[in-house]
Amino acid sequence: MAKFPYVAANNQPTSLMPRLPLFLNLSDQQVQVVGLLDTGAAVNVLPYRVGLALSAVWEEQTTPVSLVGNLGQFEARALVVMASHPQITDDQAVRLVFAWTRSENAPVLLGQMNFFLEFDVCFYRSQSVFEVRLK
Amino acid sequence: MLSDTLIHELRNLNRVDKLRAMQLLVTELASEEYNLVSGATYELFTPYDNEAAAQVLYDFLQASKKDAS
Repeated sequence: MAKFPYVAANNQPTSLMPRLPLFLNLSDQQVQVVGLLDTGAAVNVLPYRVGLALSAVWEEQTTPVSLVGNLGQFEARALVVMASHPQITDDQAVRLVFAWTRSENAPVLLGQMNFFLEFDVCFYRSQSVFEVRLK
Repeated sequence: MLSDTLIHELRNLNRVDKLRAMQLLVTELASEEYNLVSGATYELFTPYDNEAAAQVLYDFLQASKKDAS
């Protein structure tokens, strides 16, 4: 299992969260993102700007996804990308499906469908570390 | 504990200083644990209990895998 530290969003120790760096690939485009491991999220969420950085074309994504909560006010569409991390996936990229939202402010969320179906994760919050491995 | 003396002193402040004192306390509360302030609105991005969306993505993923194979 690869071990990662909890990362603070700012300088406050109470903002420590399990944030995982990942490479996302679509066609020949690659971007590095830091995704929040969100066990309460039913789905993975990709903010609009990241989809654009992957050269995804909004109009070409034809499967609408209805999100709830703050993201419910934004249109979202299904998008499949390949995800990798040198310590976790070796050379084997994993197919992740995202709700690509028009929201610019949303973080990258890694949720139950399908990040947690593809990766096994152990949280050790008291030690401020978490471990991830391919299923 | 908030003493009567402190309350008396706060009441004797002019309007501007009262507002400054309020602002100071609100800022301090905001920086404390969980960063939550009563009455404030916070964004919650987590799509919790969003099984309909999960089903849509599941079906989309299966179709994507079928196309790829």
